[in-house]
Amino acid sequence: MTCVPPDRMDLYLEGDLAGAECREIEAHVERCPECRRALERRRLIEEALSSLPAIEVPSGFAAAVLDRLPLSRRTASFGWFISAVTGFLALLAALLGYYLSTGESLLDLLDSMGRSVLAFISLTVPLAAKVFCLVRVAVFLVGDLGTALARSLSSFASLVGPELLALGLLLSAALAALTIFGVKRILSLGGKP
Amino acid sequence: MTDDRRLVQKALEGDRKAFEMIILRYQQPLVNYLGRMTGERETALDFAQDIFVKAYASLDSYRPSYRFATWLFKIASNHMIDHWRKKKIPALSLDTAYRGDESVPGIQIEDPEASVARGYELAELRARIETALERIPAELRELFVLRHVSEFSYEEIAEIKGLPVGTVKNRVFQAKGLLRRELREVS
Repeated sequence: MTCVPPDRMDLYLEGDLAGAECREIEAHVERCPECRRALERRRLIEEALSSLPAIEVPSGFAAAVLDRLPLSRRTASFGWFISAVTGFLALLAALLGYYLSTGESLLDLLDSMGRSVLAFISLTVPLAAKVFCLVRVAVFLVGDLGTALARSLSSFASLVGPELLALGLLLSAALAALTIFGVKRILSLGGKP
Repeated sequence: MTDDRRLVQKALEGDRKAFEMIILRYQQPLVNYLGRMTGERETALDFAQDIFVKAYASLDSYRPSYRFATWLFKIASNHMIDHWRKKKIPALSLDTAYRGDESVPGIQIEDPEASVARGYELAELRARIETALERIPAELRELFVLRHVSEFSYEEIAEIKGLPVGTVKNRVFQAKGLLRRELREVS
């Protein structure tokens, strides 16, 4: 056997070779000092690798990680409930603060708030209803106009026949093209210094 | 159910002590991996914190059919990739196979006959390996560290990196060749 190629030697150390090939390599290594040294070198490196010193982790590491975590996973999943309760409590505190500072009855305050809300609703609802009616009328109008246009086009087509209609469309297209190019030319002439 | 899975289940139920147990169990291997990848202890510790926080946030995506360590190191590996992207570390073309100059006489290590001499050699070699590792391209170094420092199997590394087992093996061998070459240069 010739000297063991490097990749075979790696596979041998990984235990990836079949028994017969392993024995062949072992027999060769016995006889070949260069391959023996190479194999020993590899073993030494692997041993050094598996015994590399650990990087010191400070004793408070886990506590530092825990400090960065959210309060609890349950808190996160019931977050909406906690927010709602907090909001309600904040409202109560605000009402109580108002009562303590002004001396006004909380019921009066709630009553005036309710009136304001009702006034706002009574103003905005009729306005929204009128806007809705206007939009509805506009939609009907556009729809009727579209139908009338389609009908008149259809009667025109039946009057002139398909040949004349095709000719008319062709002439319209040619006129449109001429107009576009003419305008473009006028613009480009006007744009020259 | 393994111990890890039970701890994860408890942590999912809001038991912070269970997650602390997970941290204590994996902090050392994770910091060792990150330390060898970044070459800086402080950065490794910061990254390890970030990775545990990320793991906690996505704990419900962990599937108990996998090993917890594999899942955690997948997060760590993605964290390292983000770090390299931010630092704009040039990527090595992994399609270009390393052609190690194996015919050149190897590193000059004396024939280890006595155990004392071997111990000394090992200590010296470890120091040189730490230096040499930093000179290996990051992508190869990662696979090499996962295999030889973190001691994952090739199948587990393939799962962590989302690569075929054969590719992982090939690249780890490439990294070994490079390491040997670097060791010759470091010595």
